[in-house]
Amino acid sequence: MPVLVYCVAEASAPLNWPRTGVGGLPVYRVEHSGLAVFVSRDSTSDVWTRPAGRESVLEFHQVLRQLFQSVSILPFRFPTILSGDRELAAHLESASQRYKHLLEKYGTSVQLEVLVSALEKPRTPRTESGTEYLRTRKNQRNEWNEIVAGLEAVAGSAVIEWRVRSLPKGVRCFARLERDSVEQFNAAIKTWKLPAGCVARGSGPWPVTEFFPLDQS
Amino acid sequence: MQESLEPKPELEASLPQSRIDCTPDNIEQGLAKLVLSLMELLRQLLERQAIRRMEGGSLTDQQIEDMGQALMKLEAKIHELADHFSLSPADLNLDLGPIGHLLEK
Repeated sequence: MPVLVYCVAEASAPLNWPRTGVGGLPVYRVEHSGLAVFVSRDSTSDVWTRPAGRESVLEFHQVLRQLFQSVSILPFRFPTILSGDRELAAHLESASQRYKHLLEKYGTSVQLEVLVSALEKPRTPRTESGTEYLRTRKNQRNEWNEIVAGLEAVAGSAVIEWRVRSLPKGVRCFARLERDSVEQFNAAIKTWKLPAGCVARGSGPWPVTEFFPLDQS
Repeated sequence: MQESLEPKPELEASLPQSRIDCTPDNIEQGLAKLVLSLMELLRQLLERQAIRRMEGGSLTDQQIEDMGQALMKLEAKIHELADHFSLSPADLNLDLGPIGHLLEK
């Protein structure tokens, strides 16, 4: 029977978890290889693979969010569907060491995200000169680097590490910090003076997915 | 900050993306999307590399000018082709499954 996987947690994860998941299906807690895995089962996987449903994604996130409030998790991308319990067991058998390592390393960390965007679309250099074109691009990049540096300075020691991604209209900054530093981070960030012409949106705390090393296998 | 730090699932990033559509009716557009997405990725990589080399001082003035010209024309051509196939800039991206998207959104 197809299995939808929500996330993995340490086997010591609390026995209290959201009982209803995507499509109103029950959420089960399966223990394997010293890990707790949260899954739903259905005789077909139609409910999970139907055309992109905002509702399904919300239901999926709701399960993750409730679990993450009390325990560190390794979330799976929606929809991660395995053919059945046998495939799930085989997967955990091969990946359990990696999952345990990640849970141990990042167990007390959370991730906060700050998205900074320009109110206006970045200007495409209007010039005949190739040199001017490249210089304009370089200046645009430097402006964003300065904004990120300002944010990092304000957040200070609350943050363990940062990841920054460039976007067409701005930057996405991910901060990894200890769960108990979130208040400190939020308070610090409120003092940040946002540059003119930009807007910022914060979200979190989330599992530290941005900091997980890419699985080469 | 415009908004407070509250949990807000990024639904768009999590929704299963449409596959490249290669039905007989729109195979051209599906293939154009694939090819132009890869071209846009390469253009962005080349641009970053060009800026790095320019900052590092390893290019002559003429080389900077030539590189800038090439990148400028490449960008214009990608936009032109995208318009031709009714693709928006946001369409020039590919969902790579568990590792996210080809380009940052």
